[in-house]
Amino acid sequence: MKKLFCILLTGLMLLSCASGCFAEGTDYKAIYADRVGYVVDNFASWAEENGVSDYLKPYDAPTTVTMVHNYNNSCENMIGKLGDHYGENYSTNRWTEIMKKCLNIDVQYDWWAHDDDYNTKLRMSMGASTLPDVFVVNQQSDVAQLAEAGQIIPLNDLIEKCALPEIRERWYMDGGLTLSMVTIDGQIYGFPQTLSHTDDAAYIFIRSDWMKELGIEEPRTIEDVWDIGYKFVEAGKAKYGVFLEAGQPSVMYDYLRGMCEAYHAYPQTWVVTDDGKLQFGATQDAMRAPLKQLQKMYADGMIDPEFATKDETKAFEEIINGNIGLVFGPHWVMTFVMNMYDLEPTKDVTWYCCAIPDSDGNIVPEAIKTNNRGFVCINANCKNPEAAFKMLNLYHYASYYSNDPTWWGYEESYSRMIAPVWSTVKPTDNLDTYENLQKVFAANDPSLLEGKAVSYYGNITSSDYKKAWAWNQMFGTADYTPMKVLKYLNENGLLFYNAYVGAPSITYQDYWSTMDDLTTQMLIKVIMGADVDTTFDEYVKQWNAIGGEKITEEANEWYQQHR
Amino acid sequence: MTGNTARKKRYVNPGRIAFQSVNITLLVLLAAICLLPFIHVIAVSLSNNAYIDAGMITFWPMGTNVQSYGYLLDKAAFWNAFRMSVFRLVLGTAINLILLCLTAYPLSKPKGKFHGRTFYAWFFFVTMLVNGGLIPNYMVVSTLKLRNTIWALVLPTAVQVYDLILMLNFFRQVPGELEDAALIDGASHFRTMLEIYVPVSMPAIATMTLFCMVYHWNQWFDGMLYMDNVNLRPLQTFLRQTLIGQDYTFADGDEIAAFAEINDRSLRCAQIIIATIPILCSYPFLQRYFVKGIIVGSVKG
Amino acid sequence: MKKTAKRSKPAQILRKEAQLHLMVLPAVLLVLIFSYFPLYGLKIAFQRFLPAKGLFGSQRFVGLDNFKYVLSLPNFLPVLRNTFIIAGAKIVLNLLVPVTVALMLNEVNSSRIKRPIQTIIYFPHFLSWIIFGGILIDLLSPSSGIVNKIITALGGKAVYFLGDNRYFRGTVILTDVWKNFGYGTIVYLAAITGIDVTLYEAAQIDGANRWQQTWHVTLPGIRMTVVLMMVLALGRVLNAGFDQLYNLCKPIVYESGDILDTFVYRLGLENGSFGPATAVGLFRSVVSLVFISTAYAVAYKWFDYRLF
Repeated sequence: MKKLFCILLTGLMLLSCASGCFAEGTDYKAIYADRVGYVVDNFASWAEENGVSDYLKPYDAPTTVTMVHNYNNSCENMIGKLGDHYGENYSTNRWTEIMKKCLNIDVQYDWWAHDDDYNTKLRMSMGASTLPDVFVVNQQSDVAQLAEAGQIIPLNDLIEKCALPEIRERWYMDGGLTLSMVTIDGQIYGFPQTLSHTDDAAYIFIRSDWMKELGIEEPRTIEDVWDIGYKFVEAGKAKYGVFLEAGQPSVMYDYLRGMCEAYHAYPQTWVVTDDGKLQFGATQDAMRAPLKQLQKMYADGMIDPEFATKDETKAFEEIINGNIGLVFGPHWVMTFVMNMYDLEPTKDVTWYCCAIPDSDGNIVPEAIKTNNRGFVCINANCKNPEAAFKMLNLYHYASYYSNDPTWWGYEESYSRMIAPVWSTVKPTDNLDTYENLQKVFAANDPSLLEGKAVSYYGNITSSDYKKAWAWNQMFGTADYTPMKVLKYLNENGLLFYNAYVGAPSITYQDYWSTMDDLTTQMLIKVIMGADVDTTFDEYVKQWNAIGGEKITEEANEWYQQHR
Repeated sequence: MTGNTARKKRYVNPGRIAFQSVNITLLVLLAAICLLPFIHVIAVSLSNNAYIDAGMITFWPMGTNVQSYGYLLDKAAFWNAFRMSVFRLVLGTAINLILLCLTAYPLSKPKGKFHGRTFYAWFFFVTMLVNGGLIPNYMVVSTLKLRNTIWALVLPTAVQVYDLILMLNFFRQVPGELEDAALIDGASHFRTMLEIYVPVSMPAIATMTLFCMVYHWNQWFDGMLYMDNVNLRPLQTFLRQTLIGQDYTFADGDEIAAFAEINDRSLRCAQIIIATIPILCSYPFLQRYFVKGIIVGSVKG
Repeated sequence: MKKTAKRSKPAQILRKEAQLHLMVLPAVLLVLIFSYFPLYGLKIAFQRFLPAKGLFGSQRFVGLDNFKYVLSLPNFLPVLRNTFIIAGAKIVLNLLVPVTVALMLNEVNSSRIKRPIQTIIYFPHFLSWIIFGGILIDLLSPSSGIVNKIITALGGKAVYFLGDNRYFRGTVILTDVWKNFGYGTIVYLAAITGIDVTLYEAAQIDGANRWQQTWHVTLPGIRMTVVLMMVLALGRVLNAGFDQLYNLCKPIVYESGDILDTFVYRLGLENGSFGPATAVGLFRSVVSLVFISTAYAVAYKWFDYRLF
């Protein structure tokens, strides 16, 4: 047994060595030298030409900036490859090199932590009083605490004076909503690492190959949509009428949201009601209708009876083995089901995607959120607070104006994530990418690709037919893509923001998780058969009593101040 | 084992045979139930993702391939983490065992022979019930400049109180005559512990060794907390960070979409197998110590 | 031969026992540094603790407010009840099952059968609940799980083990035993092998059969170990198993399966909730301490036996 194990282990180790020894076709060293060299040589002249020299002025003396940083599974996969090709790692890479060579900034990382653990580790540093000069904070309450404790400085002046005008413009594209998330008494305590804001938007996905087979027309109203679900089951094509999961509460709403929006209900959003006041969507009467519908469908066996204990991955199994043909979900659903492409005889699987209609056939407005990758905060003890902005400006330059923006931002898909501070994309990033791709496909000219469209183009034209299929369904030229729907929604003013994004109050911090639990349990109970009206009334009463009333007051106060 | 080997062969009772068959059947069934989850994990690790995502794998792989293993073993980060865990396990277990024997011996003495024993016993025991919390623990380790070193992983865990109490109990059962004999021969406490107690308590020590090894091998949280440099992560910390689903709260759409590509259940299962096999293989080696320790002939007078 | 007992002075006692104190010293130092110093953090239980201000910073003292806050939350009592029930049942079963299995294994003569079984029953211990949980969801599925298939084949109705409040606790307890009984079995087997062989021989000479030997030699022989394990388990009386419940307990069964740890964990998702979490931890420590002190006192006063 011992011998066998040793042989096995040796064998596996040899295998791993062997695979690393294959000669590589690309001259990575040359590429690296070229890209980094270009930025180093040209950033100053670019800044001159565009009148932004001040924003990218290097320090006279070497300046150290301490930081901490997060990584995730995607980064882990990438950094291995970057290490092989270029010898990069988290502490020493292309970004740290240009920070040093261009701006004379030495970036020293105290620690790197996985996304899931980052908040915990940051709080350790806070508690132990070992916070670095510049760091990203994910939780709004942490920003508020740090501000209250005087650990971080307000950035109002610095934002005006040190951030590239183009970047500043992007921060204000949503009307200043994102910045208001970390604004306390008019003082802004962090700048955002921006992301596309539209990712929450829900779409309807229907198996169009089944529609064709059964001669079903495109749905006009929400009732038509439900009808299709029923028809699929009756025809023996599907086992369940619609997809739903509640075993993983953190992502449950991704799939529930769309169904509620069809009835003008917004369970996760603070909506402005007729009297101009804010109310939380989950407690509004509009919720009764979708709940009744879902209850009916559950009773009819149209919803997986085990939806309450299956997490997302498990629940998706039903879609992948062809048991469900109707999904309300975000645009990335297609990548989650791309494995169904491997199972025969499904090579003809096609999905139809449309916006969500209400009972009158009108497209409903959809809620979006001020998505971001945390806020960059600056320690009160930091001797060079403008350094963070300089780094962001240089990042922006490399990601948009260097000779190979894709290499900087999208090498192995995620090279931007290891930059000290990153992300200056516009809130409409996904939409812009889509438009760019359409232009490129129409003109058949890949040289027109910009930003992450390059990476997406690679996916769409990938030789891995699964990948190609999935990405084409989302961003490509397929007839019905979620991005096409998104374009329509945007152009017709059907996207609106959550109205209350202020830092969580004490009441919120103390009681929101309990209130959230209440909501989740109510939803599940009702869908599984509890009387809608009595259960919902009871829930609203409880929700308000625990803290809902107080928080609604606070929300309205904030709303009045920040209109 | 136990008393049976000493017995001479007698006429075998049919009731005994019946009992033995039922007993063994039940035990085999139990073992089968315990083995099946592993078989499932192995099957998934050898399967094609399409079948896995469709929920079609139970105990037999489909679309068999060893891609996941190959991919995993190719990663330098994996081997770094593996080496780190082995290092931690060896050092940590050694420290644990030394301290266990050293400390359990005095505590096993009755109050008459060691007046401080009850005080010390409670001194250790209370720490099993009370914990100062994450931040103070972090600060102690941080202040002692142990972060990013192996000591952050093996010093705070050096005294395993649960095992200490068990060990104390095992030591107490060593016949008093053995100790008296040693003391009369002029042996110090230390030598008595080393030359009498330890050999006699081999089953107990083997048990403790196993427990300590398993403990160190499975720890992930302290690795996450105290190892700031990603190259110093022990195996379970490294694995957890590719095993657990991503927190989407702050991800954007393309991250989530790309997550699907590495949401590779086959890979995760391969990781589990690779991470578990070493420790499982150690168990049979320890089993030979689960026999009666050296029986020092009964001491009379 | 012992020296004639003389009433020794404390200094003399210390000198005699010096070596014993010395042997204990390294562990004492380590425990002092790594377990006692951090106890300073218990003060967090009485503060509105903001990590941003630092451990030694000026945190607001709020007395018992953290305790009151947790007690005031609507689900607290069910959560406490679940914790006691689940932890209690686990303590009992995680005692009975391993002892029984150890005794069963002890009866097996052939080490070729015994060893593999001993090894294999320890396997589930190594699977984290993340994986084990996923396997269980499949296994116990009302529609496609093997267990339910057997139940329906025998004529019963399918049971939604992980989604029905009536069955959830039982499922949690039994699956925990499944995962961990191998661990306890090892300890008891080690104890059994430590029993003096001559005692069995004496019993046989007296004409005892295998059952009587087990009852009169084996069980008493491991009695102290069993009692000890039980008392140690009592020390975790409010530890119902975070990892397991975190992975298995979905909102639909919070009512019967939500325990202190998962409950407090969710409270802290937004901001860490250090104060309330520490308060709950302190509460658990006090409860455990009371249980164990009582057991210790009872054992000492009535049986003249020090548990440890």
